[in-house]
Amino acid sequence: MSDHSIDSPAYGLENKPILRVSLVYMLTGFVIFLIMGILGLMMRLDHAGWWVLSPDWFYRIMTLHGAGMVAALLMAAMGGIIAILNKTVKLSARWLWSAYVIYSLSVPFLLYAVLIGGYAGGWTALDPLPYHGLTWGKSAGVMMYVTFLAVGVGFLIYCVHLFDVTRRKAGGVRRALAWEVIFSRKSNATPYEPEVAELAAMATSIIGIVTVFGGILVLAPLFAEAAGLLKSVNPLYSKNFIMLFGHSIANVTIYIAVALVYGLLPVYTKRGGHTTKFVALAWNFTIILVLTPPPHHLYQDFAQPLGLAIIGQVASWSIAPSVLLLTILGNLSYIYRSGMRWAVPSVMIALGFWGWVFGGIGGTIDSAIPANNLLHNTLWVPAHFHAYYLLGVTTFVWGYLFYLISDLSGVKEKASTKIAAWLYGIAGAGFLLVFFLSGADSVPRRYAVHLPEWNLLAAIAVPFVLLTIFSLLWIIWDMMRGLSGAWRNTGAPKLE
Amino acid sequence: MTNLNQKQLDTRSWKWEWAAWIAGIFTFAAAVLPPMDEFVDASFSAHMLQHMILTMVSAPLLAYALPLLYRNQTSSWFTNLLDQLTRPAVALIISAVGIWIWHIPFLYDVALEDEFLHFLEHVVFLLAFVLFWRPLMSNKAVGGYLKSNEGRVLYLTIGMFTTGLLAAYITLAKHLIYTHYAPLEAGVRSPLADQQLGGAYMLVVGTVAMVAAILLTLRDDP
Repeated sequence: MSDHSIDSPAYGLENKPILRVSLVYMLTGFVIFLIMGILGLMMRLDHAGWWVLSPDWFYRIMTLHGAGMVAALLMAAMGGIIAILNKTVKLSARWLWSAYVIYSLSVPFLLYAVLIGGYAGGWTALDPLPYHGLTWGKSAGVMMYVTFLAVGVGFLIYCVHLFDVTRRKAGGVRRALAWEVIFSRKSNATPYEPEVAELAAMATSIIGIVTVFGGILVLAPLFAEAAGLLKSVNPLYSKNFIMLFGHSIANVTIYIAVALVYGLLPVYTKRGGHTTKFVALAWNFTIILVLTPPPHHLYQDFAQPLGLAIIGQVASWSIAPSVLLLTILGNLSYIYRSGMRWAVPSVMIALGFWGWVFGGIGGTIDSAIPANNLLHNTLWVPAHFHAYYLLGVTTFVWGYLFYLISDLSGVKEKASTKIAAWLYGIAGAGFLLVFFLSGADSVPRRYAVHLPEWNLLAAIAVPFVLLTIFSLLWIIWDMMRGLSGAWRNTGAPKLE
Repeated sequence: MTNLNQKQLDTRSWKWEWAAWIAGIFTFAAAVLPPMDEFVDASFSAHMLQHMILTMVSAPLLAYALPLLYRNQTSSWFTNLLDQLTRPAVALIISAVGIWIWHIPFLYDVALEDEFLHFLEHVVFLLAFVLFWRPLMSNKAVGGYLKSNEGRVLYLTIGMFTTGLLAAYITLAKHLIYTHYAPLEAGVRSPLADQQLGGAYMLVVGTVAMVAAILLTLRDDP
C-alpha cells in the first residue's frame, strides 16, 4: 500500500471495491479513447489527401469516432468522480458495476451496427435516417439506437445511485445542493456544507436523469418506427430531443470532469476544496444552463419556434460567466502564488483550463445566431467541441487517472513525464488551431471528400495529431509502471 | 484438485440441484422433441429459438445441477477433469468454438439433413454451455469459480461478444447464409427475413440472458 499523507484519500478495506470499479471505468474509457483517437487520425489523413477513404468508410469512421469518444470520456469521468466521492460517501459496488455493464453494451452494438451493418449516419436521426440509409439496412439503424439506449440506461442507473447516496448523506436534496450555504445568513447556525464532489455529483446526476428521459422521448418513437408502429418520427421533434440527449450528455461530461479538478487541485496547491457560496451557486446554475442550450443546434432549422432559438442563445451565453469567473478564474486563483507542485496531473489541469477557455470562446461565438449563420456547418463547430474535449475533458480525466494510479500503487511519476504533458498541450493547441482556422475559412464539417484547396490545413494538423499520440504513449508508459500495483491494492482480500 | 471436502458434501441439502436437474432436462426435452422439432425444419428463426433454449435456459440449469454427478466423491478422475474444463478461459474457448463451428454454413446445413449430426450438434451446444455457465456458480465449485465482480463481468462480456458477433453477422447479412431454408415456401417472411429474425433472436436472448446473469451475480462485498 502507498504511504497515505494527509492529502491522499483514505483507502480502507471497505473502499477497495469502489476504487476497483473506478479504475475499471477509467481504464475502459481510456482504451476506447485511444482507439477512437486513431480513427480521428484516419479522418484527418483523409482530409489531408494522404490516405483517402471511400465516403462510406469515412462516415462509418466518423460515426464510430464521435459516438465512441463521447461515450468513452463520459465513462472515464464517471469513474473518476466515484473515486473522489468514495472518500466521504458510501457507494455501492453492485450499483456501479450494474451501470458499467449496461453502459458497456453500447460497445458491441455500436461495432455491430457500423462494422458489420454498415451504419454511417452519425448520431443524427432525421427522417429518412436512421433506418433508410443507402448503404445500411434497418437492423443496423436499430442497433445504433440500441447503443444510445445502453449508454442512456447505464448512465441513468449511475445517476440515480449518485443522486440517492448524496441525498442520503446530506439529509435531503436541498442540503446536497448546498442551498443552506447559498441562502445562509450570518445569524444562522452553521449551514450544512457538502463536499464539492458531492455537490457536483448531485448537480450532474440531476442533469443526467433529465437528459436520459429526453433521450427516451426520442428513442421510444424511433423504436416504434422500426417496429412498424409509426411511419416516421417528426424531424423537428426528433432533432430537438436528440440534441437534448446527445448535446447534454457531451456537455455534462465536462462538468463531471471539472469535479475531478476540484478534488485534485487541493492536493497540488494545498488550497481550495471548499464549498463556498459562489461555488454552490455555480453548480446550481449548471443544472439549468446545461439543459437549456441544446436549441442552439437548430438555429438553421426554419421550422424551429423562435422562442426555443432565443432560449438556446440566452442559455449558451449565460453559462459563460459562471464558468469563467468561478471555475476557471476561481481555480486559477488557487494556483496563483500557491507554489503548486508541477506534476503530470497538475500540468494537465492547467492545460485543461485553457482548453475550456478557447473551446468556450469558440462555442460562445458560434452560439450567437448571426455568427452561426456563417459557421453552422463548418469545421468551427467540431473545433470548439474538440477544444472542450481534447484540451479540457481529456486533460482533467487522464490527469486524474494518472494521479489515482500513482497514489494507489505508491509508484511516483518520473520527473521527465511532465514534458510529455506539456507536449500534449502543444500538440492539442496546434491541432485545434487548425480546426478553428478551417472553420473560419468555411471548410465544411461532415464532408468525406475535401477540395484540394482544403487539404493543406488538414495536412498541418496531422503532425500535431502524431505529437499527441507520442505524448500520450509517453504518459501511458509512466502510468503503466504503477498499474499492476494499483490493481493489486484495490483487489478483494483472499478469503480463507 | 477439487476444493470440496467431505463435510461439505455430506451436510448440505441437494434439493436445489435436483430441482435444477429436473428443470434442465424438461426444457431440453421441450426444445428438441415435437412440436418444437417440427417448427425447426420449417424456419431458421424457430431453429435459433431452439438453440437459445438449449444454451441459455437448459444449460445454466444443468450447470447448477452438475455437482450431483460428484456428490459422493471429493476427488476422482471426473472431478479432476471438471477442474480443468470449468476453468473460465477453457470454458469460454470450448463454448465459443462449439457455437462457431456448428454455424459454419456447410456444417449447419448438413446437420439439418442428418438426424444424428443434428442430435450431436445439440449435445455439443448443451455440454459446451454447461461448462460456460459453471464458473459463475458457487455451489460446490470445482476448478475455476469466478469470485470477483470484475472477473464475472469480464467473463460474461467476452461470452456475450463471441456469441453476439455471430448473431450480429447473421442479423445484418444481406444474403442467405444457410441455404437449407432457401427452397421452402416464403409464407409470412422470406427466407432472408427469417434468417435475420433468427439472428435477432440469438442476439437479443443471448444478450438479455448474459446481462441478467451478470446483474444477478454482482456483489457489494469485497
